[in-house]
Amino acid sequence: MAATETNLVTVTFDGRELQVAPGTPLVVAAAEVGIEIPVFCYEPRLGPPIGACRMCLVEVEIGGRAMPKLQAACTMTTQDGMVVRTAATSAPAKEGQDAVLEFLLLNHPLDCPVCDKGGECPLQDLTFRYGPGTSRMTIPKRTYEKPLPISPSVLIDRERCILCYRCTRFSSDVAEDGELVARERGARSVIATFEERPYVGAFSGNVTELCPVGALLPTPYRFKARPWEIVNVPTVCTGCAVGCNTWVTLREGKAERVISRNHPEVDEGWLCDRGRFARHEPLVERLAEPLIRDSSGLHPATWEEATRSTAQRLRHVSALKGAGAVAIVTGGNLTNEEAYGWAAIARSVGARTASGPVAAAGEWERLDPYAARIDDLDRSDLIVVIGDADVADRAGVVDLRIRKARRAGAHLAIVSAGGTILERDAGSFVAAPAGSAAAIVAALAGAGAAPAGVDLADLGARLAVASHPVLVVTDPIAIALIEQLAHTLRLHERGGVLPMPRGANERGARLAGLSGGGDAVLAGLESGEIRAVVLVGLDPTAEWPEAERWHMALAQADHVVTVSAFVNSAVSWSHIVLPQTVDHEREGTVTNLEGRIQRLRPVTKGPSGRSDLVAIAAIAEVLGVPVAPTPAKVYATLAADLTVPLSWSQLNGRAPLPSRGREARAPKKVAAPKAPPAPAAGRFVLVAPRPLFAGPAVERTAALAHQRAPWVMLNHADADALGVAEHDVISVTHAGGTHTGPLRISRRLVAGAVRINWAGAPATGDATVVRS
Amino acid sequence: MQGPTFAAPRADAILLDFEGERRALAQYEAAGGWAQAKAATGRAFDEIVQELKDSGLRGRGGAGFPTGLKVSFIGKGDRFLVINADESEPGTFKDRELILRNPHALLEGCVILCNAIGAKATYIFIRGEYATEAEVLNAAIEESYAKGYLGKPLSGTSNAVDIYVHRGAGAYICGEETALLSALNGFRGQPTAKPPFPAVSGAWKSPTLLNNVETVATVPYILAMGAQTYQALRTEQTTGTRLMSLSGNVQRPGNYELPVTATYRDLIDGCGGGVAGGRTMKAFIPGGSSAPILMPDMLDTQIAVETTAAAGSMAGSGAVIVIDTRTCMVQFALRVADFYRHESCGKCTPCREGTRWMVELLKRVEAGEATMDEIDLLVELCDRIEGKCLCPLGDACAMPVRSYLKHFRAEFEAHIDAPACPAGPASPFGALYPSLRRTLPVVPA
Ligand SMILES: Cc1cc2nc3c(=O)[nH]c(=O)nc-3n(C[C@H](O)[C@H](O)[C@H](O)COP(=O)(O)O)c2cc1C
Ligand code: SF4
Ligand code: SF4
Ligand code: SF4
Ligand code: FES
Repeated sequence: MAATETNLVTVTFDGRELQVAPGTPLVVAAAEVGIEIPVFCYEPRLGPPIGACRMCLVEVEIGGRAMPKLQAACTMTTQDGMVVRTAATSAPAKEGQDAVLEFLLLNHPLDCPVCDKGGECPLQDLTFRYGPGTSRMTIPKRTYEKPLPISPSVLIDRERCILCYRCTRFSSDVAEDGELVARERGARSVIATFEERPYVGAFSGNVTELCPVGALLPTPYRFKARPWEIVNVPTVCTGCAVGCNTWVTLREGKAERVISRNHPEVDEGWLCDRGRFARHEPLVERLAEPLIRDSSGLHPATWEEATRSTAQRLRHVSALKGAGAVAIVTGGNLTNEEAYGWAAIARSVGARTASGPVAAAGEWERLDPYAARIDDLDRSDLIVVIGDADVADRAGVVDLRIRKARRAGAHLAIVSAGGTILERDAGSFVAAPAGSAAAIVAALAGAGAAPAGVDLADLGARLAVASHPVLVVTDPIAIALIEQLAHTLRLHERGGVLPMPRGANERGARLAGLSGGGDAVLAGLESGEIRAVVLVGLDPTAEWPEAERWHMALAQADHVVTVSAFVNSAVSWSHIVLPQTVDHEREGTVTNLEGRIQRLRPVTKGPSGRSDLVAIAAIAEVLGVPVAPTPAKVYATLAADLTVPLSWSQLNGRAPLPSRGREARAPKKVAAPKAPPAPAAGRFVLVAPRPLFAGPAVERTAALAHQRAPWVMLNHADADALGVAEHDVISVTHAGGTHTGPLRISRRLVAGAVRINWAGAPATGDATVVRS
Repeated sequence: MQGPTFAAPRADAILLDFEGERRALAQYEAAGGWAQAKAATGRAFDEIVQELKDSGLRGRGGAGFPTGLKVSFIGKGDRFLVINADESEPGTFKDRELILRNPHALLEGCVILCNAIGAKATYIFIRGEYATEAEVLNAAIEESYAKGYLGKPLSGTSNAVDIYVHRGAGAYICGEETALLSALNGFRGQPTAKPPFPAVSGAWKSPTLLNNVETVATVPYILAMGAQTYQALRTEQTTGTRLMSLSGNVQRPGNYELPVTATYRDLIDGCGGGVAGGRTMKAFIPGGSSAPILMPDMLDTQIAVETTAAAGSMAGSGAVIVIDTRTCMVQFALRVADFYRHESCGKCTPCREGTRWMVELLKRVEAGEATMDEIDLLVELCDRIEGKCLCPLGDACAMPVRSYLKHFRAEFEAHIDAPACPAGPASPFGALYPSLRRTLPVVPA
């Protein structure tokens, strides 16, 4: 809210006068005139200030009258004519500050030399700047058992805790999981987990950054580094398509930690635990050198041999079988520049391309006229989430942003088969049959009937009147359907649609030239039209639907080139294997779900020591197409081609999202979707959206093992009918395999459905459910 | 077991102007009860506010805030009335007797105020230990529903009032209004920063009027006799009568309803029969354990808010504690500070850490381990807590301890290097801290 000249008030801090909006917290206003008022508990991202630590005490005079007590400058806000004296000029305020620091240090163990926070610790810094040099304490310090795990990835040291309640406020007021709580009272208060259960929320790691002392520390970083021997490299998370801005902590050539680099428009300083913790463990089964298959199997080869052989095979197949005999397929796990390089190669050999499993579900640019930004959620009055997948599973921290909007008054409406985490806090929830997202979208767009028993009247009425509605469809349905709904709702004029691509750079890959869907490639492989395929950072047999068909189809291809960081199942039938880099090793740009182009910086080198783009350029060179081996050069060409108005250097820091044209065209007519087939008698409809905690990096991270523990969810009536109870071990057998885990009973999951956190290849259809 | 005996009322008593135990609904009605709730339905909000302002009624929960003014502050929206029956300040037990003996006065006061502010519900937040009192209240509430005073509108209004009794879980801090509301709303019972004030955001985050039991129970009587009559009994800034809880080393402890013009001597000597066992008074506490101590030369102070403040203390919750000369003031300080340490909610730093430190220091003094510096440190600790906390609980620990150090510093100093507590085994609090009793060092044979 921009204050206009007229409604500003005048406030004086230590003699410095300031014009400021009324109602600004004094700590914020003081900073505007360069005065630091030290704080511990104040953190505006956690909601209203609570005034707990009392570090920010100041003397305040209003209308010439001194307030009788010192005031907390975080909870006290500006009023006209206020005169504020901080500890720099007021003896009482100084006494207050001294008192609080002395109290905070009273029971603090002062074990800075062995504390991971030492050197980047607000308590240490503020004590150094403002604190007493000595302690007057003659009594024994309070001691606790330490450190204790509050989850497999976070440890607590209660002796160091200064009880600022940042962590519990994050849990209750930001993530809204209520898992982290304060127990006992007074000087015996401790931070604990609810009923001693581990803190397993998807965002738990944020408390380690919020904690102003070394009380909450990330387990994987324990005793790993000291602040003066590390370098924090600014980059972007590629765990999902949000693209949270991060710092990766580098020590002696190893990436030891990921922390937030707060981009207010993207992540507001939060990371999910996948982005924070995945990839930290030793990267086992990494491919370090190119491999070429001969009659006796795969053998190490030089880069020169492998890239040349790749190029020759692609050229050979294309020359022999014509255009369309080659396919280059990615899931979005690559940079824009790499995608551009592969696209150039594709053009030169007439290859088909794919950047996602289903062509119709990947046409993201259709939504451009209606596309919302992530921060549109802040302005929204209605958020509609349609789909069986949880928002957190599709786009990590967007979940937190939706919750924030809901707390600020937006109505959150969810249409789903139920059993998601977000729906617990929704303003309205419409239960829909599993897999009916497309039908719901079509029905809302007036292009089809709602599934039987689903009443969309209330939602329709809300959508009609909302001033800034934001639509989120979490399931992979035809984009043209969403476009139709967006057009019907005139979302180019108000609010918008937030795209939910499943690959981190699916949008970028598509724009750079790798458009198309895996469905056509699969059909081409099966019909024998496609003879050579390049799989870039993708194992379709593990990550895409129709895994079994992919398996068979790939086995038939003449040439399979796999570009992969890890040994995966596709490697076993590949003819050529090129090692790939992973997130922290890459340089280039990625395009997030909003279409924001952000820069990845290489933090470490992959085991192969070579950047992917160099290999791509080598292949392209053999094929006679020019691809520069440096990301900046490729980006320049790409930006010119796509008329991106941002230069390479403008992508430094926090990348902006230039505004786009909002002219809507008449949407493509799409046939009303077919209803999913009803399960056979005695079987259940499978609801198995890919969880956030899935994929090769997550699988290799010990600190996230608990997030992958399988579970099974049934409606309470179905559980009763089966005679099973919460925590009973249940086996669910579906086309993709068997999933066995403890039962969770849900009252909202629709009857006849079974929800599982299946991290294998996407599975749909029906399933049998038995107690194991 | 013999039930409690109650003091006979004085002629000018208002709230407990009858003898004997609980006044049932029929008796309350016979004495003119519930008539005011019916009569008041025709009166506008402003009129009731003016009547309360004219009466000079001040809150009886401790802060003495003018009640009429508080009612006038209530914000717009769905409003609620909350009754503070948490009564946990050491020495205070007046609301308890009021609830046990005259519950309908409280309920009628609730209905009057609810109708005035348009609230549909009252929540009576009663301390968890008051199990019998909660039962009595619930019984009286049932009687009132049966008679149609609750649950449906009285004639002349369309507002139906429900009253719910909510039992606390045993925390002194839940008597503080914002902590009470947090607990009522289902959160941790801890104070919250003001603003927002309860008048804007209280029960269910809605505008809430929050008053003490005695304050609200007085309302029907004020309407019955008229503000002018009520306020005629007055000091300069305080009006009416107060229920005073008298305890400590006194002959006849108990609750006594006195006009605010009465003095502490009237209460202690007149009602209470003086110091127990004919002993000598050392000092007294006028308004609950958080009030600074007063010396016997202040006994002729009137019990009113401003007179007690002028004497250097506060009328607080009207709980008077008598201390006789046997009492070791270090032990007494320890007992008081230990209460606040135990009850500190732990939200803000100075109270959470300061009260613990204070108790540990006082233990050192009592045990003879402290140095003179540490006695100075105790005074400084009071400075470092007072006026720096989120809610008044920290002050409630610092203020009394500071007063003991001021009046009895020599006694604290006498503990230093003393082989045993100078007060000897006669001190009534010695038994509470037996571990601190020193024995003479064992001299090897
Ligand atoms: C630590 C603390 C404890 C309190 N305990 C009580 C209590 O038990 N009962 C009460 O009526 N007021 C108590 N109060 C005062 C309340 O906060 C509030 O001022 C009062 O209930 C308002 O009612 P009144 O205006 O009718 O006095 C307490 C205040 C503090 C700071
Ligand atoms: S653990 Fe850290 S964040 Fe949580 S209350 Fe303690 S100091 Fe604050
Ligand atoms: S939300 Fe997505 S981009 Fe952000 S940290 Fe998590 S995985 Fe990474
Ligand atoms: S003063 Fe004490 S009781 Fe009040 S908020 Fe602070 S810690 Fe809690
Ligand atoms: S920062 Fe103001 S009280 Fe903690």
